[in-house]
Amino acid sequence: MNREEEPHRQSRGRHGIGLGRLARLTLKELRETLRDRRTIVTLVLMPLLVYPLLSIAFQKFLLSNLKSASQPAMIVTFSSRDDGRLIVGYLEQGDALLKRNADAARTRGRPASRPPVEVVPGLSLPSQQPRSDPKIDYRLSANLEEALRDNFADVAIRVRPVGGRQEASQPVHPGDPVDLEILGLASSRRGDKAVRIIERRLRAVNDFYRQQRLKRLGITHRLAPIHTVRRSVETETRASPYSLSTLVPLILILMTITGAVYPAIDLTAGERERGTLETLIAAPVPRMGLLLAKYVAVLTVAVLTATVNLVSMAVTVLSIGLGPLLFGEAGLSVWSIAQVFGLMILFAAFFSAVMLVFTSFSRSFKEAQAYLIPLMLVAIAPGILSMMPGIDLGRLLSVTPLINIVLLARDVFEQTADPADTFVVVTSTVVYALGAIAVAGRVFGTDAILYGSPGTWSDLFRRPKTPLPAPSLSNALLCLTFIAPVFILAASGLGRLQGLSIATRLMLNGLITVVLFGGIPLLEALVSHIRIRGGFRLMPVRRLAWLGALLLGLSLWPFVFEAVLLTEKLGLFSVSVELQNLAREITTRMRALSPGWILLSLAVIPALFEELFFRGYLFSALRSRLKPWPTILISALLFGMFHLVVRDSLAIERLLPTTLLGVVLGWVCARTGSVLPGIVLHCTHNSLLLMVAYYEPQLKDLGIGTARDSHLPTIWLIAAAIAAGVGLMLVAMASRTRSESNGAG
Amino acid sequence: MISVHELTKRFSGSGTDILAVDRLSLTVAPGEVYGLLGPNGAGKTTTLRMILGLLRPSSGYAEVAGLRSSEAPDEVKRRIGLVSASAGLYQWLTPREILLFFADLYGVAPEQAESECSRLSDLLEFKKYLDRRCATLSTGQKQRVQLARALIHDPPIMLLDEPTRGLDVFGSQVIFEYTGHLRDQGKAVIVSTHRLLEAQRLCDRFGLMHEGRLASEGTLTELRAATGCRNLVEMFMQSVQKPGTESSFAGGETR
Repeated sequence: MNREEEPHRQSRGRHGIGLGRLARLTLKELRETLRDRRTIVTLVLMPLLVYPLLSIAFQKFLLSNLKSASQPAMIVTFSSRDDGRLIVGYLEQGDALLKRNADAARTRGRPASRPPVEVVPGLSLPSQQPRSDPKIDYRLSANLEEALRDNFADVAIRVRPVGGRQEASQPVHPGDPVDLEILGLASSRRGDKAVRIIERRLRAVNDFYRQQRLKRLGITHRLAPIHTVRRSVETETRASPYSLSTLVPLILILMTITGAVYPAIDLTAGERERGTLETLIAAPVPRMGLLLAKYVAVLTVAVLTATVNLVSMAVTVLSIGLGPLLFGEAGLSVWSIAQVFGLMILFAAFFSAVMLVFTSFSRSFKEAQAYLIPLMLVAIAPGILSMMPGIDLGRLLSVTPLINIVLLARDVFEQTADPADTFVVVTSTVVYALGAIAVAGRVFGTDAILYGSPGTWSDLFRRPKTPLPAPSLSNALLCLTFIAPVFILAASGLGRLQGLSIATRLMLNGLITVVLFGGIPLLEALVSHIRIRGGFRLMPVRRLAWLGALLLGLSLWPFVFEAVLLTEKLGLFSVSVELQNLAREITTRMRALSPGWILLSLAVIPALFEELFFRGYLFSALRSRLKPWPTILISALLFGMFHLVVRDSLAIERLLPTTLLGVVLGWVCARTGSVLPGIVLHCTHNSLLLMVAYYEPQLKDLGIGTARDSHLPTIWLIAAAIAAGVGLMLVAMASRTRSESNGAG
Repeated sequence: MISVHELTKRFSGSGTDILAVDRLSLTVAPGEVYGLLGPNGAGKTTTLRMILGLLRPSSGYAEVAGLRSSEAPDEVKRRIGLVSASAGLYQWLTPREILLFFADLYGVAPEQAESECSRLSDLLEFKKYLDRRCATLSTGQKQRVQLARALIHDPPIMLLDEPTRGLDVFGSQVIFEYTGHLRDQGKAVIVSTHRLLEAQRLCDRFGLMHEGRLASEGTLTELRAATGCRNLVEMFMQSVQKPGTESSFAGGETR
């Protein structure tokens, strides 16, 4: 064991918080919260009331929409019964002709006046139904102009004898020439619409008589050269200006927040105000443990609220049949509900942590409320923004808190969610939640909050006078909170940059690695006054360890190769053709560069800086709280996950080999207590793989090189296994006297 | 058992600089009840919080059973029971639930916690409302539960911060009696109070604090010999009265 780690171990000791105790602590928090009537109101009553009320409002809105679309309650007026008979006759005949034409077009499989459009979710549904003109009421008026001005009618029709020659007293029969004067109120949308409907029907009648007469004259071909058909095409994205499938997750999210607000305040600021927090902090339980119990309690209430909301929403939607309108053709499926429930849990995990940051800062219930109300308003803004048309879940929005969940939930409801986006949203949200917990852990129960001690607020963020031997878990989590989203954005952004030479691309890649995995942890270590040597585990090791690491670096690649092959053979994942082509293209372009440049940018820099973070800073932080193996596995998994993001897609097949490599690197680090042998191992491993790819044509000329999908020769694998075994043994031997072998051996 | 060396706490920031505790040193042996006396704002509570490890000292240190509060806070906390007048109870939980919860926090085995819960509720006479929600209890009843909560893990050290504040005569009597019982059990007890006459009956030794400093210290006999005063009230008035200094020490509660 390293001497510098001893204080950590001692303080962790047997009084760390295990899962059992965490569960019991959480149970107490939940018992206290759920017995409070105020929780029950937000948890049960509100969701039960909100969705039925919303659905009633929505139905009203919808009905009025449908009504206005299909039944404008059109009133047509005329000045005499004879005129009425003629007009009603023509209008009904026109209506019948229009319907007959539409039916005929439909049976021929050709679009009628409106072509059938793909059903898209949203408000456009009513307009997708076959359009029928509204019902027309007919009225008699002495003065047609007056009738329009008094809103007695929408449109007035006056029958005029043709050329004024015919006497008004002579009745006009159907088919006789007649002039109709159509009167509508100026600047009235309703009147305009009514006039258009009348004109359309009368045009249909005219067409009918024209065709009949031409037929009688023996003319069957088309007289006019141009015949137009008007056809509206829906946009590919969304027809409605606001997507209703975004509204539902937004409401769910807001309701989930509402459920979690009260316990978040009550269990932190409320406890402080009632004087119970002091007795809790006076107990021999780490503050982070107490905070975690509170976090789990708040999260549980939030998830319960989400569940009640989701069930209430689903029952409401299904019972009134709003599914297709809100979520598209497929409606609301059980699978999409389950997926959205998962997202709600994710959101609750994130927002509960954020709320605890604010409430842990607060010294009273009122103060906490004052912080949370603006926070909720801030949370609504990106949610509403995500409802705007044409907003898609790109890389930037995938790592933007809140908006990413709303957009992903929308995509899930619409069954268009992309796996890579889903991964980025889930990962970034989990990282943000961990970062928020780390911040909350720094302030929860400190004397600044507990006693409002003057001056101690600034102490929370002041550089400690005495150096710390290793970073805390919260230090590492904060680092990760910065690194993860920037890394995802950088990986995507660099892939999209056009016109960059491969050399520039590699240089930028190296720079990003240096800044993210070296710069950010180093900056935090300096700010938090963490000893660089201990914090990054830059401990000297025996020569045997160097040798062991080198052997491992040389011998691990066949296993990595076989692991990739195995995942493909098992049908778990396969390297996409696109990614294969990309890799091939990059390799070809890389051959234009010198091997030294490639090794520096893709082997030395990543090995050095990734090791400094994953097996240095992060490892030290995890090790301050966890035993060796959980530390090795968590750091390895995070290492594997960071290698998943390639441009805009996920290279899932990289997860297993990279994580396995991480496990070996973690084991070496735990055994030797140092990051240095791992750097050698990582660098050798990367270099070997790169050089094999770089000299592939030459190797093939020499008869070395196999088809991509075949196993390596058995002899190679045996040799690699022997070399790896010797390497492991050397590392174990080298670290026997100074390692953390109690657990990682 | 308790040893405090040159303990100092300075609160500074946003234009204020308050010396709450100034180079305070004292020791308390097992089976001894130490009265930390002083007016409001003398630094008594701050001292107790530093002993418990809830506040970080600006300089100096406090040791409990040989462990420094700032270095091994959890070990120190495990050995201490705290009763504070400002502490509250969980309104929606019952005394039994609270006692068992705190027993768990201090690592007491469930069976032992149950028997301790039963014993303490008998001893402090609150068995009949052991399963009532704390919101329905009176101030005196709550204070008994607080005392039981602090004792549930049978700590060798008790810190009582204004334990009788807000209590009637009967309530205070329970605390007094039980403090005597703690002494008999060999526990080291520090009682912080400004009720001097009560302290005189209760404590073996006294530390008179004023403006963060220990003005005088000793047994009642030693203090009488040193000051020539008959009781703590007179002693304290003599030690703290300076021109321009107004003390709230001998307030109505001491009569």
